[in-house]
Amino acid sequence: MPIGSLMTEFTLAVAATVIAATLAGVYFTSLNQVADLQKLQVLGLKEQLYYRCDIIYAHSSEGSMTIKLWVKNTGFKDIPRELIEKSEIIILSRDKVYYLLYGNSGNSWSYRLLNDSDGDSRWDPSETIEVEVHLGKTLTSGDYYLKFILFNGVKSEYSLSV
Amino acid sequence: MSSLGGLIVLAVLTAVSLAAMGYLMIAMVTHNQLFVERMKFMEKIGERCKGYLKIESIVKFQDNRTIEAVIKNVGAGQIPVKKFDEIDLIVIYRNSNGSIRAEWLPYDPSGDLEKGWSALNITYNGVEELENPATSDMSSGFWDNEESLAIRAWISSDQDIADEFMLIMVTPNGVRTI
Repeated sequence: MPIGSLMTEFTLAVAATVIAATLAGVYFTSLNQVADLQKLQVLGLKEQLYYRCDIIYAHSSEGSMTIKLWVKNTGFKDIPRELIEKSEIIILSRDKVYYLLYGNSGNSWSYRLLNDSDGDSRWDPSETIEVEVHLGKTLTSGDYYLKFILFNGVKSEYSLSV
Repeated sequence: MSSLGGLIVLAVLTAVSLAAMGYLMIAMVTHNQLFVERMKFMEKIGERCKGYLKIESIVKFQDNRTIEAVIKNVGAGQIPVKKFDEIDLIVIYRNSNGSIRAEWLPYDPSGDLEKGWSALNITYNGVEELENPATSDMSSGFWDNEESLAIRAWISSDQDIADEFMLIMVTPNGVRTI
């Protein structure tokens, strides 16, 4: 066999190998990405399920500067104090929007654990907190839409009429 | 192409195909596991959302601070008596000043607290329960589906239930009265 023909065959074999390897690489990378996406989706689902809450009831009255909420941990994980305090409250009314962070001043909210049976100061599943919302102004008669948003973005909503 | 080149290409392609098939199988197993895990989560969510509690009767005592109520478990699952301290009971009422108040009451089986609630008995269709009966001191047993729990609730002595009132009860898994 002439040397030229051998070189051509060798070049073709190498080219075929490179193409096959490239195609396989692309294929494996895509599969990896799909698997990673699935894992991320399940992780997100886990976090949303593990940390959940539900506003049981909210109460206030006309002329009051506070709203009381009772919020139950309906998830599967306990929430430490630091993470509870990262929650946010949004209150919507016809003419005003309140965005409230944890604190002790006006326009903030505070809480206390109601049935901390194990005394660990953590918000365990099935336990309830009493949230007191301090508004900078008195509530007027009307409808209010409350949102309690946990640190991970999971929220519970409640409609209140005073 | 000579036989040498053909063999090399064939060998490479076979190796790549085998690797791809193996990888595909691993990926399928992983996806299957993820799917099973996701189904388990959905089941857990489902367990939390089922059923409701129904207030069968409610009565206010003459002292204007004590209420007795019978609440039926309609498909909310077994609730251990030991977990009654994780049940929320909120009483909403109008007092003699005319203002509406809402109070969360702690579980107090001994009745020592200023305000609270305790369980009196668990019955099934008005007769003694047979499934997982609760002891008379309410230290063990279950409040099962279709059973009714009688409770007594009382508010603090500086308040009074002058007029209309209502109860909200929420089980440890988040099922509530309707």
